[in-house]
Amino acid sequence: MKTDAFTVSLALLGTLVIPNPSSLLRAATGTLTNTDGRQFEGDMTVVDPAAIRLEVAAGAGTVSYLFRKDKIQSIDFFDAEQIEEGLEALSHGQYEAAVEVLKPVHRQRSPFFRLYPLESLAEPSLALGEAYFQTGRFIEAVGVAGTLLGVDFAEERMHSKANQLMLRSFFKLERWEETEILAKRWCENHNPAEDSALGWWILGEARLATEDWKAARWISLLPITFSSQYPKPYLEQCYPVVIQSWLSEGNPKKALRAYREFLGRKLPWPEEKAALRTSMEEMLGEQDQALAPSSSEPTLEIPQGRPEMDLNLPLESVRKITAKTEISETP
Amino acid sequence: MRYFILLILLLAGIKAGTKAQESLDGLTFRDALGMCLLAAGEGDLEKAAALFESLEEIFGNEAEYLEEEIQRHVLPVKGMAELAAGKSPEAIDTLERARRQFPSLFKEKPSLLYSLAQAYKQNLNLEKARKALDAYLQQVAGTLEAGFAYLERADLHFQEGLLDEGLEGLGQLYRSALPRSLKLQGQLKAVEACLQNGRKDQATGLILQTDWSVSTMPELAQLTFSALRTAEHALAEQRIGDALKLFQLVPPKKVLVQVQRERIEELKQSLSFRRARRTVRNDTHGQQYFTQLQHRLEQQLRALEDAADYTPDFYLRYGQCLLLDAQLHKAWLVFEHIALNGAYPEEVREEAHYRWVLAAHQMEEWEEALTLARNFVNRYPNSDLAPQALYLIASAHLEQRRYRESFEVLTDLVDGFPDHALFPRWLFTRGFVLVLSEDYPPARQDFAAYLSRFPQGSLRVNAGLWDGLTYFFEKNYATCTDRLTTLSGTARNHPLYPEIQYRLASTHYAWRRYDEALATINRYLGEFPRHFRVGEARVLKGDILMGKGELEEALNTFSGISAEVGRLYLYSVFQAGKILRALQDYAGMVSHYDAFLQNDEAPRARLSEALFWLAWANQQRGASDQAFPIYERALATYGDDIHSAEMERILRALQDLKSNQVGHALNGSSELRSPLATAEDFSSWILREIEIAQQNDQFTYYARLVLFFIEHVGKPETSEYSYMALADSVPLENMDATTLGRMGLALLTAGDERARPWLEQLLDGFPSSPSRSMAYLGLARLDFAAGDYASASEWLHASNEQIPLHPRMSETQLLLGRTLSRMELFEESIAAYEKLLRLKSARGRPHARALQGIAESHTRSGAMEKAIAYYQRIYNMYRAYPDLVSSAYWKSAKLFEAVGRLPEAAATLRELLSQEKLKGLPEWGLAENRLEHLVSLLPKEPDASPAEEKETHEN
Repeated sequence: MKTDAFTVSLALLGTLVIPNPSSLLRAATGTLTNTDGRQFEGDMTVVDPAAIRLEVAAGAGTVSYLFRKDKIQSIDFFDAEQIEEGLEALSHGQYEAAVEVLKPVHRQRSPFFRLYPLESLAEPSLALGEAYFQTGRFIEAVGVAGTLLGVDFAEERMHSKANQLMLRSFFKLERWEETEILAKRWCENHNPAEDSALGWWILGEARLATEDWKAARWISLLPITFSSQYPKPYLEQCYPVVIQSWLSEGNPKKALRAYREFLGRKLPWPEEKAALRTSMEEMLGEQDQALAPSSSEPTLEIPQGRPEMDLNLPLESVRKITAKTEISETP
Repeated sequence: MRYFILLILLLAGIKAGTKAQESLDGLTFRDALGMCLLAAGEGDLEKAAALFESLEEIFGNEAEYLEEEIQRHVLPVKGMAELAAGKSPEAIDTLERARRQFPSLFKEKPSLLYSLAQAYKQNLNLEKARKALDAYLQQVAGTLEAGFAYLERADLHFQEGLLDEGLEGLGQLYRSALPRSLKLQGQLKAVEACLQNGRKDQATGLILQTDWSVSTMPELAQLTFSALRTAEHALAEQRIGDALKLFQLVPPKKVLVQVQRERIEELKQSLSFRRARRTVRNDTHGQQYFTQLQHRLEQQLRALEDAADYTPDFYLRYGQCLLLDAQLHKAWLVFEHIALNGAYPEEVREEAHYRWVLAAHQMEEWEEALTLARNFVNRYPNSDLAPQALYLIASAHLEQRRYRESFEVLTDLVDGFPDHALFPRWLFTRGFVLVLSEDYPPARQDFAAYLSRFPQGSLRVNAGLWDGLTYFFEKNYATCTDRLTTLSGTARNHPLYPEIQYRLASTHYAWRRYDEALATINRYLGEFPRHFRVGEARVLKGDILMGKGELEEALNTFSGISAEVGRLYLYSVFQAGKILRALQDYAGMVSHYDAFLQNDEAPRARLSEALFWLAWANQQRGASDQAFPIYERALATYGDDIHSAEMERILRALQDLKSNQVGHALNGSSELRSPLATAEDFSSWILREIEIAQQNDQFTYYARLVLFFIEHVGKPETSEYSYMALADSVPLENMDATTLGRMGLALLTAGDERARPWLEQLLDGFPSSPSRSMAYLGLARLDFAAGDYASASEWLHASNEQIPLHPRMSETQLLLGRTLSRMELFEESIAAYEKLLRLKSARGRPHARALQGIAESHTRSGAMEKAIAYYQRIYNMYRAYPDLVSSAYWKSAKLFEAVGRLPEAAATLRELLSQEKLKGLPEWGLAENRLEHLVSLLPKEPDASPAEEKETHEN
C-alpha cells in the first residue's frame, strides 16, 4: 500500500466521513474459534490491533473473554444471508436496497479489517461502496474507499478497486484537485493497451474543466489509440472528451471525424453527454469533406515575421503519454 | 448406444459389471456377442474391435450371426469400434456393408454417416470422406452437427486442393442460421485457406466483411494473426482505411494470451457441462469437435506464449497507417510509446522514433519536431534515417524562419550525403532557404546544380520558378521574364503553370511593361478562374491598369473585389481611394470611404486610415466644416486604440487644417461645434487634448499627443513635455508601436537604461508592425556599444529580412556595415554598405557615410589602396558635408603615408588645407602639423619649373 501523505489523508477521510463511534469499540455478533478448536459465540470487539474481546451472555450478566490474535483460528459473522441479499440486490441494480442491507455489514466488519486484512472479509464493503456510488452518495463512497485503502490487504485487487471507486467518486463530486491527483496516479500505474480507460477519461475531463483543450485531447486519445475491438471499459467516455476539445478549439471538422470514428465502433454513447451528441448529429449531415492530409510540396510564399527563438526543449517537455512505460535512458 | 448394449447384455444374461474377456474361445454366439459389446461399453474400443473381428471369424457364416436383426445392430457398433481403434479400412468395410444392407439405418442414425466419413478420412480417401459428409449434412441440416460437418468438409476440400469448393461451402455456413460461433470459425478457416493459397485480397475481403465477435469467440490467436497478415497486405496495397480496421482486431500479446486463456477455461467448463448431461444421439460429434478445438487452442496458446512478441512490429505498422491516414495525434502517441519503451527491440524503436518526428512535423509543431529530431540524431547517429532526421531539423528551422541554421544543416547534408536518394530535395531546399535569406547568387547556383544534375527531377519546375524569381527580387526583370517565359514553355501541364503565369504578369508589372502584364494577367484569369491566386491576380490587374493610366478601368476592377478576400479587399479599397484622389473625385472619395466604413462585412482594419481620407476628401471639397469633425471622430474613436496606426497622420492633417484655417472666417455650423476649429491655434488645442487625455487615463492617446507635441509643435527639451517625462508617466503596455520605437531610441540616445525594455516591448507586443525596425536598430546599437557584435548583427539582419523598407534604412545599414567590420567580416560589411548605396532614398549624407564605411572596412582588412579610392570619392563628390570631407582627406593622407606614397599624402593634406570652409574642423590642425612633417621627409624640389628654365635660356 502506498504510504504517501495523500493516500494516508484519503484513508483518514474514509474513517471520518461516515460518522460512527470509535471503531475499536463497535461490537459484531459472531462465532470465534480458538486454536484449540473451541467455539465461542457472542459480541466481538477489537480492543487493540492484535486482540478481540468476546462477550457472552451468562444469566443476567455477561462473561468477557480476551483472545490474542495468535490464539484465534477463525471468526465468522452472522451476516451471510444479509451479504447474499445485498449482492443480489446490487447485481439487479437495486442499489438503494443494497445500501440498506450492506451498510450494517460494513459497519460491523470494518473494525476487523486491520486485524484480518482479507479480501473475503472486505468484499461486502466494496459492494457497499459501489452501491453508494450508484445512488449518487459519492461522499459515502469515498468514505468506504478510504477505509479500504487504509488496510494492508495482501491482494492488490482490493486496493485497485478501492482506488477506482475513490477516483470515480471524486470525479462525480467535481473535486478537481483530488481527481487530478488520483487520475494521474492511476494513469501512471496502468497501461492504456491493457487496462481500462478510466483514469485517462477522468483526467481528460479534469482538463476540460480547466479549459486545457489540448491536454484533454492528448490524454483521452491515449486509450482510444491503443484500443481494439476487445472490450475496454470506459472507452466510450473518452470520445466525447476528444470531440469537445476539438469543438472548443473551433475545429468542428476534426470533431466530426472523431464522432464518425466513434459511430463506426458501435460503442454506447454516454447518457450524460446527450446534448453533445445532438450537436454532432446535426453537424453530421452538413459536413462531408474528409480531412486533407498536409501537403509535402514546397511552399510558394515568402514567410513573414521575425525568426522564432530556438527553445532547445528537452525531450521530457514534449512527451504526451501519461502512462506506465518502460522508459529506457535517452541521451 | 449405451442402452442398446445394456439391452443385449441383459438378453445375453450377462450381469452388468462383468469384465469382457480377452478371447471368445469356447463361448456361445450370444456370450461372444455379449463380450464384444461389453468391451465396447467399457470403452476399450481396440479390444472391442479385435473381439468383433474374432466374432466374425468364428460365427461369420452362422445363421445366428447373419440374422438381420443382429447384423442391423452389430455392424454399426463393430464399425465404430474399428474406427475408434484406428482400423479405418475395416471400419469402412463394415460401415459400407451396413449401409448397403440397412440404408434406412443410416437415415435414422446420421452419426453413422459421420463415422463413415471419419473412416474414409483416416484412410486418406478424402473424396469419399467428403461425399459421406455431404450425405451426413443433408441428414442433419439445420442442426448444430451440420455446422461441425461444414467445417470438416471444408477441411477436406482444402486438403484436396479444392479451394473454391471449400470456400463456397463455408460461405453456405456463414449464410445459414447456424450458431454464430460456428459461422465465425468457418470464416476463420476461409481466411486461413485464402492466405495459404496466396489469395490475399480475398482473405482481406473476407476478414473485413465478417462481423467478428471477439468477446465470445474462442479462436482469438488465429484471428489475430490472420488480421495481422491481411492488414500488412492492405497496407502494402495502400488501402489504409482497411488496414486500420484490421489492426482493430489485434490486441497486444499480453492481452491476447490472457484472453485466450480465459476462453480456453470457458471452453473446458462448457465441455464438462456437456459431458455431465450427455444426450444419447448426437452428442459424440459435438464432444469430439469441441475436444479437438480445445486441444488446438491449447497448442496455439503454448505456441503463442513461446513465440517472440509481435506487439512492437504490430504497433509500428499501426502507427504507420495512422500517419498515412493523417491521424497525427494517434500516430504520435503510438510512436512515442514504441520509441521510449526499453523492452522493445532497438531497431523498432529507431524506426518509431523517426516516424515520431514525422508526426510532429506533419502537425506543424516545429519546436517539438526539432526536439524529437535532435534527440533522434543524438541517439542514432549512424542510423540510415539520420540524414532524413537532419532534413527535418532543417525544415523545422526553416518553418521558424531561422534561415541560417537551416542553411547550415542543409549544407551538412548536401556535402555529407551526395548520393542519398533525397539529395535533390535537399539541394532545392537549400536554394530556397538562400532565397529567403536574400542571398540570390548562391541560391541560383543551387537551382542550376539541381537542374543540371536532375533534369527530370520532380522539383525541376519549382527550381526553375525560384531561379527566375531571384532575378525578380534583384529587380532584374528582363532576365526574370526570360527565365519564366522559357520555363512556361516547358511546363504547360505542370501544376505550377498557373503560378508561373501569375508571376510573369507581376514581373511585367514591376518592369512597367503594362501591356504585356495586362495580357498575361487576363490570360491567367481566363484560364485559371479557380486558382488560389485569383484574388491577388485581380488586385494585380487593378494595379496594372493604374500603371497604364486606365484609372476608370482600374477603379472598376478594384471595386469588384469582395470583402470575403480579407486583406486583398482592404488593399483594393485604398487603391481605389488613391485613384479617386488622382482623379480629384473628392465627392467619390467621400462616398467610397463612407461605404467602406459602413460595410459590416469588411474586415475591421485600417478604419482610422479610412476616416483620415474621408476627412481629407471633405477638406479638398472645401467642406472643412465636415473634415474637422471626421478627424476628431477618428481621434476620439481610435486615439486610445493601441493598434490604430494613423494617429500621427491625423494629427498632422489637423495641424495643417488649422494652420490653413487661421485667418479665414469660420463658416458652417459644424465648425462651430469642432473644438479644434474654435481653438486659438493648434498648439493650444493639442495642449488641451493632452490635459483631457491625462484626466481620462487615456494613456495611449496621451503618449501619442505628447510625442507629436515634442516632435512637431513644442520646443525640444521642454521641461514639462519631454521624452523622459513621458517615459516616467505612461506605463509601457499602453504605448503603441511607433511611440515605443521613438521613445526607445530617444531613451537610448539619452543613455537611459529603460531603452532596452521599451524596444523589447515593441518586438513582443507588435510582432507585425513595421515600427519594429526601430526596435531592431535600437537593440543593435545597445549590443554594439556593449561589444556584442554578433548579437547586434542578428538584430540588424532580422530587420532587413522582415522589414525591407522603413524610414531608418540608412541608419540600420550603416550600423550593420560597422558591426560586420568589427566582426572582421569585411566582405559582408562592404556588401551592406553597397546595398545602402543602391538606395536612391539614401542619397546624400547616408551615401557619403556608406562610402566612409567601405573605406574603413578596406583599411581594416589591409586593402589600403582601395580605401584611399573610397575616401577620394567622398571628398570629390560630397563637398556638402564638410565634416565627412575633412575626415576623408585626413584618413586618405594617412593611408598614403602608410603605403609609402609620401608625395600623394602631402598633396592630399595640401588640398584639405586649401579649403577655407574646413578650417574649423579637427583635422585642420592635424593636417597642418602632419604636412610640415611630411615636407621635411620629402626630397627638395628644384628651384624653378622646366617652363621657367626655358624662359631663362631664351632670355
